[in-house]
Amino acid sequence: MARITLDGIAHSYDSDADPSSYALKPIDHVWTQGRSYALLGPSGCGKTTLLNIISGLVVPSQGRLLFDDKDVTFLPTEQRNIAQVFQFPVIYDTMTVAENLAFPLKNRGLGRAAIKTRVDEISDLLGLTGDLKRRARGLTADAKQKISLGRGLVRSDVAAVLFDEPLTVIDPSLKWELRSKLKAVHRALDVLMIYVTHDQVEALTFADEVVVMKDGRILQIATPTQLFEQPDHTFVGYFIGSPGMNLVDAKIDGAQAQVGEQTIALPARYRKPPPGSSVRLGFRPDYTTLVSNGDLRVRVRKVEDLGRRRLAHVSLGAHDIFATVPHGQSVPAETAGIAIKPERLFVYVNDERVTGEPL
Amino acid sequence: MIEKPINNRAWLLVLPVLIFVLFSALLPMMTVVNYSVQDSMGANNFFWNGDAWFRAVLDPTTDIGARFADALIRNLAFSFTALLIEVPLGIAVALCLPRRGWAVGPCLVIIALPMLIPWNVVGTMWQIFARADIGLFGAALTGLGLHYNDTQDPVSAWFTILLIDVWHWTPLVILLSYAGLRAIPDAFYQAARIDAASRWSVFINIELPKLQRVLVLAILLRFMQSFMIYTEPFVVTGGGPGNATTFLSIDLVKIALGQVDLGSAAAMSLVYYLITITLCWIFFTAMTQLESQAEDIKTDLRALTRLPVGVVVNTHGHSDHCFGNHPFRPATIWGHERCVTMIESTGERQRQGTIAAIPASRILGGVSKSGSPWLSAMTLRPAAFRATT
Repeated sequence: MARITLDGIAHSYDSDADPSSYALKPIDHVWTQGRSYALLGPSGCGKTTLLNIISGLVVPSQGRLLFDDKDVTFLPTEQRNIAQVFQFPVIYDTMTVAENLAFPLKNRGLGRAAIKTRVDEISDLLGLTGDLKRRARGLTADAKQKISLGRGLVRSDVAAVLFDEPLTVIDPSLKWELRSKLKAVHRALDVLMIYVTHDQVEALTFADEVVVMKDGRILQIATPTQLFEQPDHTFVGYFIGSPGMNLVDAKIDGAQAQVGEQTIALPARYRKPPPGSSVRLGFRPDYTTLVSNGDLRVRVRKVEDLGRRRLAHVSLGAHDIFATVPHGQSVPAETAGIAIKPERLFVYVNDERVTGEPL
Repeated sequence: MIEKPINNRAWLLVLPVLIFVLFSALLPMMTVVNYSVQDSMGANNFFWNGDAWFRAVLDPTTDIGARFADALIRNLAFSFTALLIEVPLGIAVALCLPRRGWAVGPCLVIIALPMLIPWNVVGTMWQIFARADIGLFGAALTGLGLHYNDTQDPVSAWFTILLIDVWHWTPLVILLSYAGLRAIPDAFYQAARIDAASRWSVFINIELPKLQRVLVLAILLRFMQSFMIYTEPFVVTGGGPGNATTFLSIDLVKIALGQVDLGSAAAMSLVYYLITITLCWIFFTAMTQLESQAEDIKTDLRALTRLPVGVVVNTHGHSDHCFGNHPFRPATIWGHERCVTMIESTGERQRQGTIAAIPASRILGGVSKSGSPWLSAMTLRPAAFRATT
């Protein structure tokens, strides 16, 4: 299998709900083999629903799901070549680790010798070889989660592995190790991996591409760098990064924006937004520096020393925003200016990023 | 460590219960103990009789001993048959119940209904229901050409009593199993689907292991209740035909109140009581041992070697180091001589402390947590030590 295609997939758990309240609003997307994706969003954003549609545990209300060119929308889970790892470890208590790993193969009628070869291979990859003969129940949570993953990977036909917040119950000190293990498995097996999480660090460190979701809608699909440097939606700007993007109300007039009483030059010329729409400027604290003069005047409230950098809490009119204090620079007293990197200053109309004509 | 405040006045709060238990259980029981070691020639003249009543009850060649042995066999046969039917049936019905939706409530209420009916009412209902001439059930069976008469035919009588018990108490097993099944997270079923497990395999590998805790409870409750059976045979068959349904409790009433043979009856009821407690303890230990840490260690050990365990070494006498010695017997347990002294002097106190420290929810089918000492605490045997220095 080379790819998974979502063709207008949408889902509602309530059969007669109107489309605006769908748990998952129509989505078109193609996942390609060998890449890793993360579905990132707050609780209830529809990421688990989307995952369950791909694994076949949920049949979508609308749309088609294609594995390559084959329509699998109504195909039961066990006939799809996918594996899933759940939030907490799902293991068969009464079996040993080896029996757990062999279980999916046994159910599919593989021969003893073939099963043993596969189980040895996968336990070796996951570092479970020493535990093969132990009862699975007595192992630690991270080892159990490896077994869950292993049960998916032993099947040689598996083309996609789905993870539903797999590190939730793992000890913080072991999260890092297990995540590196996942990446190693990904490199070794060339499978498509889809990883659901609400933790941006997990998503950004794990995935080649991150899908940011909110209220059943995909807001942006991009690499971690793109999400950080060019958020398509105010929520992406706010959700990713710590602290999130600064967002201030503004009025747009061509290549100028008015923020409160002040004006700032924009890097491009923008069309006049439709009347009644919300217009905001977005700029990350990381690309905003506290200077003595600068684009906009602000009132300094306090400066936090985070060790690696200093973060200024400042007020711009009614908005509380953040700016970076460069190394070695003394902090101006009450009022100061902020300088924003022009290519990192964006205009959002009704929360969507709009592009202007270059000057 | 912060010391917990200790205030012994809190014990006053349990005083009312203690007084109540004293009057409702302890005094009557002591009266029974009193009767069991004395004989009377009437007119409230009692004299010491030693263990003569007990020896008679336990000797099947005596009249009373034979009656006791027969009734005991009937009791055991009844309890085990009832368990054998009710437990699998209860699990099967629980599996068929809807897991969500509007039907859940009505289903559970309908299933629970028989349990709300008092024993004597159940007896009276079935007495009429089973009558071969006018009873719906009895007449229907007779109409079908079956030989059925619960007051004259022993097979019919047993069939009826068992049927009543199954009808009355399978709901308990159903409800407990249902609660246990509902507690299994969906992810287990989803994982099983991805692993292409068959329905049977899901039952054996997921549902049954997860039900273990509630089944221990169900089996214990059902065993104790069915072993005490009295009202149904008393009302429906009167212990007959002949002695076919004369269970221990019915025979006790006959001896004590019918023949006013208080000594025999008292001795018999005490033996009855001890048998019930012992069987419950055996059940409980056998079923929960499956879960103990010691058993886990043994399983892991078996994966490494088939050699027998010769010696178990206790580093010291704390519960987390010496509890669970028992499953390794007949291996010799080694420890410092002061370790032996410590276990002998504080073992029981440690056991009580451990049991008291376990939240009830854990025992009643909560999360199984490997590493909790409570189950192995039940298996503490401070015996069989060889001291070494």
